[in-house]
Amino acid sequence: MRRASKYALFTGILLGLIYFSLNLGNFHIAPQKILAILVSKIFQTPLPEIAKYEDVVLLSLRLPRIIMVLLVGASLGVAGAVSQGIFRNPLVSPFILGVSSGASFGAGIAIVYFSQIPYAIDVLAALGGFVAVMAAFLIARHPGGFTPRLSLVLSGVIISSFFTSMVGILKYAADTDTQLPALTFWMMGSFGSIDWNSLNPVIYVIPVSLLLMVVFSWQLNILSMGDREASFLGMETEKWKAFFLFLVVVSVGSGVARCGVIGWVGLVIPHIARSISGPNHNDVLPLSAFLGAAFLLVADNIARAATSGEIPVGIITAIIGTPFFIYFLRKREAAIWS
Amino acid sequence: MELNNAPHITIRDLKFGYSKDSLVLKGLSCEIKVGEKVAILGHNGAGKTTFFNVLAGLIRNYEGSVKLNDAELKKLDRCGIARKIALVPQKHEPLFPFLTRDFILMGRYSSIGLFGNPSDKDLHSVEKAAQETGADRFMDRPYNTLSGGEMQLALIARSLAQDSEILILDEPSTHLDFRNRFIVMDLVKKISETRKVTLLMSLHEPNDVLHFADRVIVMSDGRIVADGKPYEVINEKLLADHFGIRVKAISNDEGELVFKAIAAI
Repeated sequence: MRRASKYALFTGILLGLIYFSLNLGNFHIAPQKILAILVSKIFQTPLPEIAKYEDVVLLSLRLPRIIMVLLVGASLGVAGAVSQGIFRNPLVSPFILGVSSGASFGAGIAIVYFSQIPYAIDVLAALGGFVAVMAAFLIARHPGGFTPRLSLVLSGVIISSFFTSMVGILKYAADTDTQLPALTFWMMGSFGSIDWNSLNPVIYVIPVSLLLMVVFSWQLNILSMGDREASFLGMETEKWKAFFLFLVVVSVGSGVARCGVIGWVGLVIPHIARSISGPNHNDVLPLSAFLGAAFLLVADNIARAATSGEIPVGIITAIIGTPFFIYFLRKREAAIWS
Repeated sequence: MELNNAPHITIRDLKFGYSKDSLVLKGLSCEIKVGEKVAILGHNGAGKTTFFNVLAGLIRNYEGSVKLNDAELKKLDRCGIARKIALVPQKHEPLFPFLTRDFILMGRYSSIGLFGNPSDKDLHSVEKAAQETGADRFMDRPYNTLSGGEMQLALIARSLAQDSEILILDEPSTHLDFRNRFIVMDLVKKISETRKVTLLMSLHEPNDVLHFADRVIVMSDGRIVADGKPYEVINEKLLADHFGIRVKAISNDEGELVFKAIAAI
């Protein structure tokens, strides 16, 4: 079982990375204590001898944050791979398609106007992402009943810039002392304020939607042949596209609602996954989940440990992602990009 | 091959346009019989590809009637159509480097089930299609590393793997060099004999039509302007009127008719 051993290896690497990340932070906790605290928590045994707050820092601050980073990273990696497959375009991601900016506008409205209502930010983010991608979809839709790839990318870019400017307008409406800093910081993407409560819808929504996308990944192989060919091979292309777009919007939107806009993961990760596993989406999607999670965890570690303060993680992913993407752009045969 | 007289596809006054004010297909009527080898001859933009898009179930909002056996085409689902009609596109632009084997397997989409786990029957269809086309020589190479001729063979193999009754080829040799054109056209001829499929093929070149088809439908500007046996239908006047080219008919050493282009009109 070569595939099983491969997944075992990736799981091992990820667990190691998680353990390393738990050690990281301004508040020092000895590595063996971290293990002891985790063991006692999992097996409900009494806590070992620890200093004050060590278990609180570990279990209430670091652990939920790391779980959120893993979930969001995995969802961005998979959503990127899925969108690239659907639209037959290696240069798209949920961001190009307007999902993220739509979600950020929805969430921005929630921050400015509905900050008292619980879950308003999650619902409005998903709704915003959905409105944005549907608008892009409808603008690009051909009267013949199919959606040309290039038109969809272009209308995604148009919708994206529209929602970005709408967020800009929101900033003027925001309260300069409380809401504006929150809005600005959150716009750049951050895991700084994650606790167990903020994991609430995300910890169900992302695993379920990722699982559904992986289960039906064969359909993505067919969709990646292009609308016309997929149709005459027998596929109801519009229905399957809507199915995958819905899952992309829901998983990305729920992440955006909690952590803001984080770019580059969805664009870069699928390329790395494909270069390791080949083009079959049955392999690409799980691998994109692993790599996306690991990549974002590294980026978030840098974001919280590189300086005494906290850098928005979206800035870190952009700094790492850009040269990586330029490398891929130069390395691959020109034909793929034309 | 013995022709069954039952109509396989019946088309009555088929009209379609991508926008309301300009029709691409302006009322086509014809009957394709089981086992016929039909060439569709037409200039660029005559509506051949749009016609095929209708037949392959891509376009459903057409006017008029298209019947496959006795069922109206737009009422069938795409899987149902794909099990009866396979279409070979002019060219496949590869994006991701799927192995030729996996590429051909995609022809089984309409039978394979939701999760893409191939049954023995699916794998058998793939092997058979690969052997018939010669694609079995490069099954484990990625599609995007194949030569133009090999790509076309893999494309044809993918359509054969559909095990359909009707095979449509959209200008199968347009993008190929002289040698590969011969290989592909020869293969198409062989398939039509061994597989007993109804064959529809759009062609640019009148001489190919004389060679490979037992019936020709000539399309010009969204209409059928001639329909019949190739040697009876294709002549100097037709080519001058609808293709804007002056030709000379010559008999070669084997007594076959060949058209030689003289001048564009």
